[in-house]
Order: sequence, then C-alpha cells, then structure tokens
Amino acid sequence: MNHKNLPWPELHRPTSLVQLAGNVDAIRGLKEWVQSWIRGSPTKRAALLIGPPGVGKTASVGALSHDYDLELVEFNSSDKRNKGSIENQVWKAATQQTLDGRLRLLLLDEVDGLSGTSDRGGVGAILKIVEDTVHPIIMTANDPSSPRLKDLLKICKVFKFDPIELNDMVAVIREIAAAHDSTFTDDVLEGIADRAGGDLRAAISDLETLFVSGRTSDVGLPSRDVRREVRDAFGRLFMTTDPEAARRVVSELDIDHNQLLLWLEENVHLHLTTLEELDQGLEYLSLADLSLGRIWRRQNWKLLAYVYDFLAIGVSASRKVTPYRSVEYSQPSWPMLIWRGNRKRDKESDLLLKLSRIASVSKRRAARAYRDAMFEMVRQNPRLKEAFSDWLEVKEGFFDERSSRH
Amino acid sequence: MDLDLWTEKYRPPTLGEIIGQESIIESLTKFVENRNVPHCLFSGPPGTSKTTAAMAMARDLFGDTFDRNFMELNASDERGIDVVRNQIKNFARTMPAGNAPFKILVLDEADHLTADAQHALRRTMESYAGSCRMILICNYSSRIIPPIQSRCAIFRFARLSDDSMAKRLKYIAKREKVSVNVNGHKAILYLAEGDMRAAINLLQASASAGEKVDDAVVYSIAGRANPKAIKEMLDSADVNYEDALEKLRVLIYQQGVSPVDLARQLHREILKLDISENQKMLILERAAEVEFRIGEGASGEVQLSALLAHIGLERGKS
Repeated sequence: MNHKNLPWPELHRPTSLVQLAGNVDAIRGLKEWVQSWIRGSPTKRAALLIGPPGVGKTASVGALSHDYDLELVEFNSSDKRNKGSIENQVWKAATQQTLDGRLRLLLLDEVDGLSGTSDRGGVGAILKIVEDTVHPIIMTANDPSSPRLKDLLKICKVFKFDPIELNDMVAVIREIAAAHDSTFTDDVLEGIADRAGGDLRAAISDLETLFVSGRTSDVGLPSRDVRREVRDAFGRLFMTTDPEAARRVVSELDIDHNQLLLWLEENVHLHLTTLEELDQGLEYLSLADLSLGRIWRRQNWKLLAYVYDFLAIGVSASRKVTPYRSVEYSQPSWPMLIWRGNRKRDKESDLLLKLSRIASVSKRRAARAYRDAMFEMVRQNPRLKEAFSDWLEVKEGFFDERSSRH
Repeated sequence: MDLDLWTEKYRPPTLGEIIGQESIIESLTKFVENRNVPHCLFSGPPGTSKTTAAMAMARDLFGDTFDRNFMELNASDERGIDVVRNQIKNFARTMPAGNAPFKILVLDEADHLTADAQHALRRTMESYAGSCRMILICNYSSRIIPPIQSRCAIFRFARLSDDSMAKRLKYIAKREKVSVNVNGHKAILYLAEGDMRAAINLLQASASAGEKVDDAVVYSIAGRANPKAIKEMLDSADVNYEDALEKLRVLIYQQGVSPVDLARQLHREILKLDISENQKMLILERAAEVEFRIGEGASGEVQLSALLAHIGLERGKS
C-alpha cells in the first residue's frame, strides 16, 4: 500500500481551511467558535455540522485541527456507539487533559447514523458528555430532520453546510486534474460538476473514474442528482404517446416503485391540468398504490408489473387535452415518511429476530404467534408497555405506533 | 450428465469475456490496467452481469492471490450493523496479500443492508480505502443512502440486448452439444426478458429434457404458454367467446400453464393489441384485479374467463 494509491477524494482531502471550497460563512463561524474555545470562553460546548454528503463537513474538522494545532480524536459509526462505549471512551477523551496541554478536538461523525438498537442510549450519553467536556466537540449529520438530532440541536451551535456551488467545484477538480498531469476541457469538468449535484467528493471520484479509465468525455457518466434524472425521465414520459416508450422510460429510471409513486404524486398536476385528466391520472396513481399495498400484505410480487403500468402508461396517457410543456418538477415532500417506514420495518425485523431467538421459532412464526399477541396484551393493558419494551430493548413508543393503528 | 449449473460454469472469469455492457467493461478494464479501482456501486436489474463483472475484475487484478484478497458477502449472509462493524472492518483493515495494491470486498444486494449498517459502512470505506476497495451491488442505487453513493463511482448496468444474449446462448449450446432451433432461441429470449441468468437456466432446463430444444420444449419447461396461443385466444375473445374459453382450458388443463403465469402473459399481450391506450388501461385494471383475486384463492379459470369477456367487450367497441 502506498500513499499514491489512495482514491482521489482521500488523496486530495484538504488539510487546511484555506483549501476548503464553498460554505464560507459556516467555516468562518466554525473558526470563531474554535477561537472562543482557545480563549477559554465558548458559548456552546459542542458544534453540529449539518449538510448533505460531500460538502466538506468532516474535511473542515480535519483542517481545523491542523490549522489550530488541536489533537483530533474521531469516533464514527464504524465503531460501536452505545451508551456504555460512549460513556467510557468518549467521556475519557472529553474530560481528561492532553499530555502536552493542547486542546483536543473531538469529532463524533455521522450522529444521525446512530443505530436505534445496537447504539441504544447513545444520544443521551452524548448530551451528558457535552455538559462535562473540557474540549471542543464537533458532530456531523446529514439529515436535519432525523429524530436523533432533536435533543442535540438544542445544546449545539449549529452550522449549516450547503451543496457546493458549480464554479467552486469546477475550480477544485480542475486543480486536481492538473496535479495528475491530465487535461480535461472545461465542458467536461463542468459536466462532471453538474452531474454531481453539489457533492464535491462525488465529483472528485467521477473525475478519477474518467482519468483512470482513460476517457476524455463525461458522456455515459451517470447522474448523481436524482432530481435531474427524474426531470429528464418525466419530460420524456409525459411527452410520449407510445405506451412501450413510457414503460421503457420508467424501467430505465434508477428509482424504485415507492419513490416513483411519490414523485408522480407530487408532480402529475403539472401535466394534467383539466379536471378529467387529473381525475383519471390520480385514479391510476391510486390503483398503483392499491397494488403496492396488496403486494405488501400478501407478498404477491407478481402484481408489481401492474404497478409500473399504472404509473407509466396510466398516468402519462391521462394527458389528453393539455399540451405537453416543459415544467420544473419538485421533490416529493414526504419521502421522509417512507424513510421512517423503512426504519420501522428494520426495527420490526430486529424485534422479530429477538423474539424468534428467545422462543426458538422462525421469524414468521414469531410475528404471528408472539408479536400480535403482545400488541394485543399491550392494548388491553397499557402498563405492560414498559415491561415489554425493556425486555425486548425497544422504545416504548414502538408499541404506541402499532396499537394506534388497530 | 453432469450436475454443473451452467450459470456458474459459464460465468465469464475475465472482463474480456463478458458480453454487453461495453462502456462499463471498458472502464473496468482500464481500472485493472492502471491497478487502481475506486469504490464502486453497480446497479441494474437481475442477470445483467453485475456480480460477474465484479468478480472478473478482481480476478484480472489479483491473478494468483485472488482467494486471499477477495471477499464476497451476499444476501444469504446475516448483514446487520454488527457484520459491518466486525467482519467487514476486519477484512478491510488488514493488508493485502502478495503484491496486490489493495483488497476487494463485494457486497452483493447491498440495498438489503439495513440503513444502520449502511451508515456504519461509510467511514470504513474512507478510513481503510488504502487497503480495501468495495464494490456494492444493488438493483436500484436509490436504495443506497446518499453518503455511500457519494463515496462510489456509479455504474448502471442495462438489460442485455437480445442479440448479445443470443450470441452467448449459442456458444453455450455448442459447448454442451445441445441443438437449439431458431424458435427455441426466440422462446428463451422472450421469457428471459434481458436476464442472462434466467436465460441460461432456462436453456439448461430445456436441454435436460432432450437434445433437441425448440419453442414447444422451452415453453413447456418454463410452464408458460406460447405467445402465439395467447394471441389466438385474445383474437377470438370478441368474435367467439366459446372458442376463446376452449383455448383457455387447453392452456390450463392440457398444457399445464398456471393461471397466474397465464395472467402475466396476457398482460404482456394486451399492450400489443390494436385498441386505444385508454381501452388497454381499462383491461389492465381488470387484469391486475384478476391476478389479485387469483392470489387470494379465487379460481383461475373463472377469473381468466371473466377477463377474456372483458377484453372481448373492449375489442368489440373498436
């Protein structure tokens, strides 16, 4: 292994704050916050950096430690971060002085990635440490609406990181390309940056891919920007009158049926403007949704083909009067709900696994024989909630959500 | 007769032998030449050479040290957050064996990793990038959390074209000394719908029935109806219902096509009918309902004859 061999995003990771691209205000604020620590009078003891991937959150922490000569200690989600291990390791690092008396900079990376089950109690432990710490603590997260951040937002100084501007990205990757003695035209560099959708790490990685594979054009590089990809696909979908073409467009789109349904729901009214068109188009959306529900209930995946037909052909063929026009599509406002739904399924699967181990039966049997019975018991006698949730190490709220649905 | 699975036996061991996906293979080949591979994300439908490409690239890159530097975790393994924190991390952080520049870890069906496990993966990918590169394989890249996508070079595998699949099928048939006629090939391609794995499995299954493979063998092995028979049934739906019903019964009871499969094939043929798009969608609505009802335990014959009657009505209108 040698240094040269590192992937470019690592090889060209900025070492000093001046090398960082974009997010000028956030980085200035972060500097001031660290300076206030050095002066010994911080207003808040921890900082939380929130922003999408690849915009310089972790990189700015590394650069801060370099520029201000701080000892950097990092804890990330590849380590176990439950209550016990945070109290033990992180607390030591946060409360003990360094050998040489320098300040220590603690980085808790990806705090929204704290696992619900195996990192149980993690957030609570972090809150406690922030109270006691004698060193600056910086946390990073992607998703501002993550429920795990709710309490952290209150005690941290929050810095928002935005996607990197196109011009800044182009400047960075041009410099990197030059460092590898390669020249790409401005068009190609802009193409790379454009497709990366504000994610500088992705842009650097794509630059490397082009360089290593010896290509001189960015044609064929997949778009990383879902919105852009959907925009192109929807344009073609609503323009065509050929059902085969509509199907093809949808099958080539790299999002799954749940997301497709959400995108269409958010945007069909832009193309279906008369009452009749809307009525028909939404009826097909509803049929697709119904079929998805049936698939989930019965695991009857054969119905999936119809879901795609209803979504692709049904919806696009509902446009009969309104002329095709190019429009700005907006991102669905509730993929969060789906995401939470997935999390809940994960949780539920964890629960079933535990049950099945305890009772040594299959997960499926655990669902039928134990879980349903437990929920029924909790419904009859809500006081049992606490006992069950402690025993199975799930949140009490888990039982609320379920029982309210009955 | 030997019991080899042809999909494994004829899995191309090197990048050069992979059919289709030309531009992707070209990039991967360059990666091998330069002995530098970024973290990759392969997405695409089943049977489009994703796993094959990952393994072939590793084999081309490592040569003799392949076994020591390559690990694959697939969907059958337990893959919660603990696997990422223990097994994957341990593999990733040890030095590559021999003079390999790094190791390669393939995570098949990565979209089935729990969200927690994906989060735990992201820093591992960076911290140990010097000793290990990962290839994540999934059907939809949108099911991989954005921070992981941001760390990967993304390659989208498209469905294989019939031409390139036919070429490979002919090669395998020749090596296995099976004679497949033109209609047999067409039948396999019709049923496989761009999925190479399905096509090869079907070829092997058909070949096990005898040395000559034609469309009749293929459709009966697959338990499907010949699309021609379906079309004939649809054509008589509006002119002679009795005749259509008779054809339906022959398919179900004599040829043993299951009503659910039949419904699926009807679905495919409906889109090709010469009626308006609106009518097609009305029929599809019924078809979806019929398939659902069959899944709920309703009689296949009754449901499908009801569907035929409805198709007859719509066709009669135009």
